[in-house]
Amino acid sequence: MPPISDCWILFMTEGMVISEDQGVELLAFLITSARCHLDDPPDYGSMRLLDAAERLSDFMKERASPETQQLLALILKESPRVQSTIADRDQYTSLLDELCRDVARHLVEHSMVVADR
Amino acid sequence: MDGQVVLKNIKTRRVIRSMTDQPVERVQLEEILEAARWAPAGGNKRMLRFVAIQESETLRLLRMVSPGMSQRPMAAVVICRDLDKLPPCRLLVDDPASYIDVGAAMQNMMLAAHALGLGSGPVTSFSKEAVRVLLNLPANLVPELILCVGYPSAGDQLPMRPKQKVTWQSLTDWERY
Repeated sequence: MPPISDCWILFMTEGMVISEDQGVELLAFLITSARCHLDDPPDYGSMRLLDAAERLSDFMKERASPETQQLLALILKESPRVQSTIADRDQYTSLLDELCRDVARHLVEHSMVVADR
Repeated sequence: MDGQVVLKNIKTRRVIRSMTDQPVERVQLEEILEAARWAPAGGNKRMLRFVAIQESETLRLLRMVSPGMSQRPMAAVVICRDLDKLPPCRLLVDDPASYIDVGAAMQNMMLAAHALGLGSGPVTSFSKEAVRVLLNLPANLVPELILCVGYPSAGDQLPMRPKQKVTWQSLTDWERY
């Protein structure tokens, strides 16, 4: 059996973009976040999800396609900025909405389903 | 003792959430732990235990179970309350005295780190049970706070709250509220 670091997770049918180690790290983050959220301020739940997105983006960036790398770069750039506004609910919501729109635009631009319509 | 140096150290310390990969020397960590030892302790009961971590794999695992750890520290100190050390008159595990000790030790360590040219950042969002397993803690030790230690990254540390003007006057009332 190969060492864990040599194993890869099939993330999408097109290719393998995160290692098993990275997948396990993300799982640990998600599970422990679920527990911590019971004690943390409610808004932290949203921040933890952004943090998970950042971590996944960081893991994927080396092996993702050039198109997806654009999205990952956007998330890695914008997520810390969004999180820094958590104290201002309106600004946080606005920036998060903006990030959601950017993600949706990426999905539309790079979706074969939409392109085929 | 140069009082102004101490006061400047207090006023210039910041929570560091982004750290470089420059190693923290063992002797530096020992100095920080020495500062914790000199922190005030309720009833001088010494209800805290510290677990110092420098090994990269342990730090990596610790970060994996600590959602609040945004930094990638090169060292960490886990502050634990020792339930066996709680005085008999304070058998309630949630007695506030030992929590106050945690804060006092943390502050001393943060100031010591700052004095050594290091940065530090406290983390409380972590799974106590997972940390207990990772560090092989006995049942009487409860991990309460992780102090991340490392050299601060250049640039903005992205504060959790927008910078706001806070003065001692804005926090204080004289004689009566």
